[in-house]
Amino acid sequence: MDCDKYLELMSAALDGELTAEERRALDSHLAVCPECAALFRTLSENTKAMRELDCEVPADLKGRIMSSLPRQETPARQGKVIPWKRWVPVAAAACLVLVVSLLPMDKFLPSGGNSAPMSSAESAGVDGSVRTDAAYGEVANSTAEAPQQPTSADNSGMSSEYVVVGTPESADPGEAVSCSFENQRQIRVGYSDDLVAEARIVGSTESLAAYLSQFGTDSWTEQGTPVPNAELETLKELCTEEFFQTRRLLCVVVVSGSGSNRYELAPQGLYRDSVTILATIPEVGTCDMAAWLLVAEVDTLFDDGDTLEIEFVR
Amino acid sequence: LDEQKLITLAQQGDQSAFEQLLERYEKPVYHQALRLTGNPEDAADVTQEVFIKVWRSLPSFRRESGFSTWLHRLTDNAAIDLIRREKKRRGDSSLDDEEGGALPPADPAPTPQQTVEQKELQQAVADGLAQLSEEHRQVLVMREINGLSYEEIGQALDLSPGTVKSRLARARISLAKILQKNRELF
Repeated sequence: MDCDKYLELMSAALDGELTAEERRALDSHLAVCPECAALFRTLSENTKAMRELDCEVPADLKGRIMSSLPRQETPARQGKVIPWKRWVPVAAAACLVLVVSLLPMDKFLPSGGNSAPMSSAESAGVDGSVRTDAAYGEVANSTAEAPQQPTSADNSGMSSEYVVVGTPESADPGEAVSCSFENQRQIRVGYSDDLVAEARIVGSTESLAAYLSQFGTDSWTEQGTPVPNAELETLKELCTEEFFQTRRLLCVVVVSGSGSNRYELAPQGLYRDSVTILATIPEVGTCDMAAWLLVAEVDTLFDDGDTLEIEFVR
Repeated sequence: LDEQKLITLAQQGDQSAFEQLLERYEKPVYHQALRLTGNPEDAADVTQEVFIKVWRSLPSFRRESGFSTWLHRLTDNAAIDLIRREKKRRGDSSLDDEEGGALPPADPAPTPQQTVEQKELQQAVADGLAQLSEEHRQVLVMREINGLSYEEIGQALDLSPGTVKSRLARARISLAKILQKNRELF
């Protein structure tokens, strides 16, 4: 007798969610199957016991909460013009990329090909959800201490590396957190062995300065001549204390096995504890390791220092 | 005052309206957190975190879900985050705990009129709940402790009501197996 199909009916019966027809089917089965009848009795007793569980709330909890209320946030602003639009004179460009610091070290991707600046990221060809793809190596690893080497090894266990350590919250359950994706930036930063790939919320000028310091100030090395990374300097200038009063910055570092791979924040891809990155992998890539900083504005429901899980789709 | 009015007032910064909402929901939130974390101190921390977040975020609350559904979602998030942080701190390798993973036993508060048998079963169930996987514990706590409907649980956890239904069934079977195993052990 196929008893498995009655398990869900038993459970629904405990919740009073059976139709009359389902009820009849379950009853006739229980009448002829002693094992299921015994299981149903056990489940009923467990359910009854669980529903009778009680607890005593600590007497001082309410007082603790009321005395620690912070200032209430103002509602999320709608459609406010953000000064970042001044960043890039090219209106069509959804992202701007500086090509810097090309380190020829990727032995797994086809060599040759120029490390031409990425154009505005397109997500064409992005389909199916994958956490990562061997073709572009470990694109990011939010907890790794050591730098990621490009490898075609099995990445199936990677998701467990993306640990949620922050506690950001959406104000509105079931919905993506509002995010001005038109203001997202892709800044290519110099790849370095010390770079830790992660998605982090930056919420103050001090945090931003500290955060950006990991990229150095002279990462433009295309012609072998170090110059300050102007994009990072601009970022610091624009994100003033006033800015952080109403916004937070989502900063995602993506470490990639090729300078030709393109990444962008997926529209509607921001949740309370994760962010989705669209990855576009060309047929022929460059043979360098590369790192990108993706930045976008998010609202103040996130806290400074929150870390988000990164999910890749392509 | 009815709840919608209290919410509107609290959204405008009225602390006494918020306090009334807190009085209504303190216990269900705390109880949910207690059954998820299995620990009274953690449950108190989670409750405090949740209500502070509620206060801060109320102005942006758009009532697309019920207020209590929102609260239970926030509580679930905060409790699961706390469990994961604790786990990480302890250096556990697995993020998604296996069924039967060890957590501190929960502590049901018995009421005087309960029979010894009922108390024993309640204690066993509370202990078993703490041994369930996160996924199963979440739905079972929302259903049995908070009395949420399939639809509300679905809203809180971003699941379809059908998934909630089948997950609850699996959770109940898992719990029964855990209780059976615990009985054989002791």
